[in-house]
Amino acid sequence: MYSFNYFLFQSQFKTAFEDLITPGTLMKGVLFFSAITFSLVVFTYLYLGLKKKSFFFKDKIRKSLELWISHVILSEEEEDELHIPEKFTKMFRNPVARQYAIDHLIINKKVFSGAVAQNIRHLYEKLGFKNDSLKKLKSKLWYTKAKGIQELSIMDQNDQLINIYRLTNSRNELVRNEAQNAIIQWSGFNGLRFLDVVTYDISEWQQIQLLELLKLFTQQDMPKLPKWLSSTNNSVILFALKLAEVYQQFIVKEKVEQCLLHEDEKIRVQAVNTLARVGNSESADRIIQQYENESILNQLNMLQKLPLMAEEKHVLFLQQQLLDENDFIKLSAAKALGTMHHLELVQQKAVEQPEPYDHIFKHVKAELAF
Amino acid sequence: MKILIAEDEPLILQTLELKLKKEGYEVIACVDGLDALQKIDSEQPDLIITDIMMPYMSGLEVVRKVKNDLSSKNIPVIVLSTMGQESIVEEAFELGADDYLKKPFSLSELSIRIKKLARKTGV
Repeated sequence: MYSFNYFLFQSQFKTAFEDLITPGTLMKGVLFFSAITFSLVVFTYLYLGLKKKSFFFKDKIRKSLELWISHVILSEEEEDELHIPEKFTKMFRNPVARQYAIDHLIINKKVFSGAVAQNIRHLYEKLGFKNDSLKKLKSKLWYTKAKGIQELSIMDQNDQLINIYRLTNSRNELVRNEAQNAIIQWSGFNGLRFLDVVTYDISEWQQIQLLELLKLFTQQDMPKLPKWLSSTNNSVILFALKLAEVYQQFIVKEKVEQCLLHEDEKIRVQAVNTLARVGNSESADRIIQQYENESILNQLNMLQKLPLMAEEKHVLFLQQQLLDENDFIKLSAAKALGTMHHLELVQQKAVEQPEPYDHIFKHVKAELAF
Repeated sequence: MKILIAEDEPLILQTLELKLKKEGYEVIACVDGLDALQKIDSEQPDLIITDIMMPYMSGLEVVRKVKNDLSSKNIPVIVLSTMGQESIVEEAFELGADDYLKKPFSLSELSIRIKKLARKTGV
């Protein structure tokens, strides 16, 4: 049965194949594949031609614009005397040429200050590039919007502060970050008011960026710091704690102590770090109260920071931690005692119970000597 | 006076080159650290201005090699740094850099520093 079916299938296939291989179908096949090959060749040729044209056009722009822009920004003439040659006026009708010039100016503006920076800004405004950046700001594409913010911010277009402020709580993280950076660059500590409205997360990296930008300004009061420390946005609390730490805001000490009870572990860890800068003996009491409820990570952090706030009355607590079953806790407590000039308590324990306290004592002693 | 500038951003390199030429200096432009080292060897500049972050060889490495070479150790070096590179600048000074400028900087300040270093080293 099987061999009969196989024979039938083979003979049917043979007949169908023989029907297909006729001079007519073969010719159609040849024509079809030739057409496809020809189309591919034409498409590749056109594509490469366009790419080549675009490359040479950009190169032409680069060669003619680069030198002129560098000359203009180095010019010592009065701003109003800036003359734009006819050929560049024509060239700037092309968006590629405009973007090239904007990028050129941006790169220079990031590096130079003083008269050159003023010339760059003036040229950017005079050539109408500000409108290009404003159009980007209205774009629906996040990367175009972010680029627009960056251009306006680098070119010190402070009159756009309100428009950009609105974007500090944009749904898109990159747009949000660029807008926040721009506001800080323009307004320094006053720009931090975006913390009142931001509902999205401020990433750890963005917090570092903001702190770096603030370094460029003279420290000012932050009257809203207590409000930010009670924010419903945990990342705002975290950032406010870092601000209190870096700028030693003693006035918010109690608010920071309250953060020791926050449900978010990152906030509790940062609260301990901040108290190490703005706290006192009372803060050490609060930390010790909270110690038992903490994760090992934060317990270690607490032991490390306690000597910066503690007094003699807290030595007993540290001494008790030497008895903890976790060796890392024992070591951290010993280091804290050493820092508070009570290494003799660790030594005493090492005499009573050499293993493991002798190792801990020697380690801490060597570290303190170093 | 012959000044060598090492800067990987061509647009910045061009602006610096134009400015210094305008002030009457002879300028040797280099696009990276390796290029700079080769030209220091062949051209023997009187002063070097180098960016820190460059491809192939960093500005720090350039300072190290220049200050460790008998033939170039007396050439004054100005380092160009950016925000957040304070520790790298310290390292550059330890390696023998003579001065530094933090971006963004004004070109008139650069001119003053060049003149000051030239006077100090008697170039």
